[in-house]
Amino acid sequence: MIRVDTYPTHKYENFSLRPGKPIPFGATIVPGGVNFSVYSRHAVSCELVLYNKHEREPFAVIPFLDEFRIGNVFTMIVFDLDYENIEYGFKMDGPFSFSEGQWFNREKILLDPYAKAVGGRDIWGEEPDWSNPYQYRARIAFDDFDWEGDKPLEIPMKDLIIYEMHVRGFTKHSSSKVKYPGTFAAIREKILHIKELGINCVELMPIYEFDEFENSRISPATNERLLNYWGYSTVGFFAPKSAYAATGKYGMQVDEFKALVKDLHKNGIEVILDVVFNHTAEGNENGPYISFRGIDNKTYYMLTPEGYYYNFSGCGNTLNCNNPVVRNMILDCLRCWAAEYHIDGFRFDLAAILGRNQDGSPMHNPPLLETLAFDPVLGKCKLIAEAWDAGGLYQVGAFPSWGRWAEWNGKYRDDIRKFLKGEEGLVGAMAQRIQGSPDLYNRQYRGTCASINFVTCHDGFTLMDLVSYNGKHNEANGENNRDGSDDNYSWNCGWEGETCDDGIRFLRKKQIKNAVSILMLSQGVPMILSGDEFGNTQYGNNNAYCQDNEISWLDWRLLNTNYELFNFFKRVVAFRKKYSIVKSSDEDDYSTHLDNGYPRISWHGTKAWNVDFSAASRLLAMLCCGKKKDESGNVKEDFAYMAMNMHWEMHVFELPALPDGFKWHVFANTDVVMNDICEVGCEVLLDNQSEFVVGPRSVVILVGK
Amino acid sequence: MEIKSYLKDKVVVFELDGKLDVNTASKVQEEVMTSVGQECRLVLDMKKCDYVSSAGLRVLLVISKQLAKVGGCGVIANLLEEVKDVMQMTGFDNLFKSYENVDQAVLAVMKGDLA
Repeated sequence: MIRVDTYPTHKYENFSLRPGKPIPFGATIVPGGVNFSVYSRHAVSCELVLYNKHEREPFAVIPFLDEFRIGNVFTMIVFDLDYENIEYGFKMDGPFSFSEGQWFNREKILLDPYAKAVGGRDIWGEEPDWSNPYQYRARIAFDDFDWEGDKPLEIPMKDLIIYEMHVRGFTKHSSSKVKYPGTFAAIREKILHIKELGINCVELMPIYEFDEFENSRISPATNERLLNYWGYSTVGFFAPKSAYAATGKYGMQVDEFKALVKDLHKNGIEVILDVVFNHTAEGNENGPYISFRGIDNKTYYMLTPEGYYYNFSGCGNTLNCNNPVVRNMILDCLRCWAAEYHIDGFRFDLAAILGRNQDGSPMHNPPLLETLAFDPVLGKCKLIAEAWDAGGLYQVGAFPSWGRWAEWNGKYRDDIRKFLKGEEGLVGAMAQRIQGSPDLYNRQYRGTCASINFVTCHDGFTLMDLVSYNGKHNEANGENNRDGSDDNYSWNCGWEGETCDDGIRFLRKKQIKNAVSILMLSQGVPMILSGDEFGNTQYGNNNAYCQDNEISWLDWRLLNTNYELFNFFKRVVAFRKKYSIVKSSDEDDYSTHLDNGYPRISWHGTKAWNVDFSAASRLLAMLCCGKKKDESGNVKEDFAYMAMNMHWEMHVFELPALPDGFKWHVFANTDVVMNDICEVGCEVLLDNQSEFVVGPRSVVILVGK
Repeated sequence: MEIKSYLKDKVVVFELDGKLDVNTASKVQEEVMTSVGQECRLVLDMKKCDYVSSAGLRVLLVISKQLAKVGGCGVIANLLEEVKDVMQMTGFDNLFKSYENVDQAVLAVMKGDLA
C-alpha cells in the first residue's frame, strides 16, 4: 500500500515539499525524501540551507513555510534529495538582544543540534578554510546496520574492569603497527592486546564530533601546533567524530564506529563513552556561532540575569541541562547511542553541572539525573559521574544516584597516591578505600559498585609519571607550566624524570606494581589508564589535552621494554577474576554469614588481627574471606590476603591463621626481581606459615587454599 | 556506473564499472536481483569499481541477505584494496567471500558451498 504522505503538497522553486513530522528532531530519511525538523522557541522564521558535499555555496535555500511550523518546531519533508551527497544547515531569524539572551542572526548557517554525522573536519589536523561561512556541516546518515544479533553485553558492574583510552592516541604512534593509525578501525587491530590484559570494558574519551582546531595555537615553548586533542568540547552530540574514522573522508564514520562496537562486543568487551554535556564548543560571548547560540541561545545556555554565560564548566559556557527541552535533547542523544550504537554505558564529564538549576544553583533531585536513572532505554546502561564541576560543586559520595549512578572516586585516587608515596596518617583512609569506600557510598543505598576506583586517568600523570616526577612539566603546553593540577601526590623515587639508575628504576616499577595490586584487590570497579600496563610516559606532562604528538601517543615499543609490567598487570587482573572474593562484598554470591568465624573483610598489621592506625603507621594488611558454591556445586572457601608496606624499611607481618586444611600460598611479591607474580592457580606454598617478611615499599598477595 | 553481465560456466558474472553510490545503488540492486533465485550462482566483478559508498554497501548487504534467503550463492572478485579496506572497516566485509580473480570466483561458486 502506498501511503498518502509520500506525495508532495507544496512546491518551492524546483523542490517538492510537504509539511514534515516534528518528531524525531533532525534529518530522517523517509520514503521519497528527507524529513527535517528543528526546535526553536524564539525564532520567528527558519530556512533550510542545502549544499553539495564540501561546496562553499549552497545550491538551495528553502524557507519553512508558515504551515510547516508546529508549536516551536519547524518541520518539512523535501523530496528527491541526493541525501548521501548533501550537507544541510539552518538559518534562523529572531530577536537580537544581549541583555535578553537572544542571539539570532539570520546570516549565520547553523548546524542541526541533532545532526547524525558532521562534515567539515573529515581528516584530522587538516587546516580548515576559516573563511567558509559554514564550518561544521550536518550530514544525513544511514541508521541501519547489520548487527548480526549483537546487543550491549550487560556485564554486572562488580565484574567490570575499565580501560580508559583515547581513540587517536591509542594507535597513532608508528610503533602501533596498524594500517590506519589513530582511528576506530585501528582499535580493532589491538583488541587482542586489550583482551590479553583481561579488560572487559573500554571507556573512550570523547568521540562526539569536536573540532581539534578549537583554540589551536603554536606553542611558544616548542613551536609545535597545539590542538584540542582530548576533545572535551562538543560540536555535535549525535555524531561520531569523523576524523576518528579512517572512512571519515567518505562520510562512513557511523558504520566504522558501529563495526568497532560490534567487534569489541564479540570479544566480550563493553564500550563506555565519555560524554560532555556540561558545555559546548561555542565558548563564551566571543565564541563562534556553531549551532545552539543561533538556534535558541536562551533555551540551550545558562545565562546570568544580564545575559552573560555562566561558566561552571571552565570552558566559557554552561549547557542549560535542566531546561526541559535541553534535558530531552540529552535523553534523545543517550538513547540514540544506546539503541543505535549499542553503547554499554556513559561517563559524564563534570557531571555536577547536570544537577544545577537553570539559575546555576545545585538541586536536590535534579530532574535530568533522575530521568536518566529511570529511563527505559538506558535501563541497563552504566551511568558514571565525574561528580564535580569547575564551579566548585564537589559531590563525590553525594551525587544524586537513585541507586543507578556510580562515581569516579576522586578520594580513592588521592588517598592511594598519598599512601603509595609513604605519607603518614593514611592507614584508616586506605581501609575505607580498599573496602569500597563505605564512608562515601552507603552500603544500603549505593554499595561498593558506586565507586569507580582509579589511580590514574587521562587527567593527570600516567602511572609511570606518577612515580617519576614530583612536579608537573607542562611547558610544552605554552602556559609557562601554570596549567594542570598541582595536587598530584606523586613521588619521583629519587630523581626527577628519566634515569639510568637501576635502583630507582626498580623502585618505580615496584611502585607501579604496588598501585595496580591495591587497585585490583579493592572492592568497587577498577579503572586502568591505557598504556599504564606497559609504563607509558607523558614525560611529566599532567595535562596533555593539547598535545597531539609523542607526548600523548602510546609508545608500543614500551610493551616490549616493560613486558614485566604488562605481565604483572595481566596476572593481577586475572587474580581479581578468579578470586572474586576481592571484588565486591555487597553484590556477590559469597555467604556473608561465615561459620568459620572469619569476617568477610578483616584488617591486620604486623600483628594479625591488630592494625596500627596511628598517624606514623604506613602498614596495612587485608584478609578477604568467603564461602560459595563453585560451578560443580561444591562449597568452597576462599582466602585472599594482601600486605601493604609503604614504609621504607622491611617489616615482618604475622599471618592470620587459616582453618585446618588450608595453607598460605604466595601469589605476588612486588619486592622480588624474578617471579614477582605467579600465574593464577599456580601460587607457591609458603615454608613459613606464620609470618612473612614484606620488603620496603612492597605489596604481597597470598591465597589460602 | 556501467553494468555488464555474462554467463561463465552457468555462473552469472556482473561487471560493475564505476562508483557504487546512492545514484547507482538502485540500478545495481535491480539488475543483480533479477538473477537472484533458488540455487543461482553469481559473481560480482568489482575490478572497475573504485568507490563504494554507504548506500552501495547496503546494496551489497541486501543482495547477500536475499541470496541467503532464497538459497543462492554469490561471491566477489577483483576487489580493489581501498574498497576492500572500506568494507572491512565499516563491518561489511563478511557479506561475500572475496576472490582474486573471476576464474577463482567462478570455481568457488560452482562448488556452491559459499554463502
